[in-house]
Amino acid sequence: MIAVLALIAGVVAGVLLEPTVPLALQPYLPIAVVAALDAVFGGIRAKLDGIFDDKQFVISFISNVLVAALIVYLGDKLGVGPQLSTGVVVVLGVRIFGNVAAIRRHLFRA
Amino acid sequence: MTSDQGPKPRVYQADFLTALFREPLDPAYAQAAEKRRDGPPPPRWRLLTRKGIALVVLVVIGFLFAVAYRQVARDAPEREKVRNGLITRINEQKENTSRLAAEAEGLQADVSMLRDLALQDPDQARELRQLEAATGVSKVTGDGLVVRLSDGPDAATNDKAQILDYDLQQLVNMLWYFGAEAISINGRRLTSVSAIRKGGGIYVGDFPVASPYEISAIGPPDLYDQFNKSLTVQIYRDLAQRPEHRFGLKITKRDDLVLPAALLPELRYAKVPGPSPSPTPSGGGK
Repeated sequence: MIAVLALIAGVVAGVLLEPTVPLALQPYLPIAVVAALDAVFGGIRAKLDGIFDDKQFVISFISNVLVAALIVYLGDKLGVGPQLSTGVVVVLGVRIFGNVAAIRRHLFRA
Repeated sequence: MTSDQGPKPRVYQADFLTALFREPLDPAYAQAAEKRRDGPPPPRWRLLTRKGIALVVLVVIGFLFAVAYRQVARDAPEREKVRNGLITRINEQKENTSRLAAEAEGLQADVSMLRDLALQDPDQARELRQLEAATGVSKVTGDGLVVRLSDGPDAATNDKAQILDYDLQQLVNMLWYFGAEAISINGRRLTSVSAIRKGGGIYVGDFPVASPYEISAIGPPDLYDQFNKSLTVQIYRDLAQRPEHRFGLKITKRDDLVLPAALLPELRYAKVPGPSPSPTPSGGGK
């Protein structure tokens, strides 16, 4: 419950503060969002499995975002930015789907 | 479920994607849970710190979502604005073009009138006007026919249903052959120097034209019958019916056609040789 409140607090802060994203960071924003979604759904699933771990959650989020950003950065430098971004989105997307399916099984027993 | 089947040492499989599909959850969660079960519980303050950090991370994630959403929402109207700006500019330019064309036509009429005045000799003036009409630099009116050609319904996927520059060339040549005196395609008057050619679409002279193509021709009274009976038109009729082509072809007789004047390029290199047989007064030959 507190976790949901924290998430909502973050959204509210984002809406109220109206931050502007620096131009240099803009390409990483979508990837960061996908990485964050992966971490969140992974966390929810772990919670439902009864094996949630705060440290694990923090590490998975930070490493997800960093690795994803690094891959996109490298891709941009190598001239294959869009392809590598697609790769990151596919891998994280598969994980999100799998975790959401597990969450669904937990919640609806189906 | 997942917690009770986790292998003890973390195994990295070669087939990464299969593993990803089978077990999407980070195996570290299972490992951490196992460690917790086996070992002694960590001190309370550490657990609380971890909880706090996790909450901070959640706040950050929420923040990230909001920022990303705002970013996307802000970009959307921007894109729309650019698009609308382009459309407005295209329309403006189109209006500009037609206004200029009308102006050019008016000026052309003025020039002809002034020249007729300057020429004094009415016979010469008439001859000049006749020549202008024949070469395409003045507007003409008369009876004739309209050939309407259009791409077939499946032209986007079927090359054979598309009208080619060659088709227009063939029909226009037949029209000239049967005595047409003035021809225009989609309002572009043909002159002795206007080509019908392909260039990412079909061009008549320097102007792109698109399906449906309307070839208007003014010619002798029997132009329609002759053209209609010609072998070329019969072949095209036959092709238009075939299922693999199915393009549109319609030939109609039309009275009182008005064909616009063509824009003739200024002659820069070609010159009239020697003293011309009929002396041209100033202004006439330029």
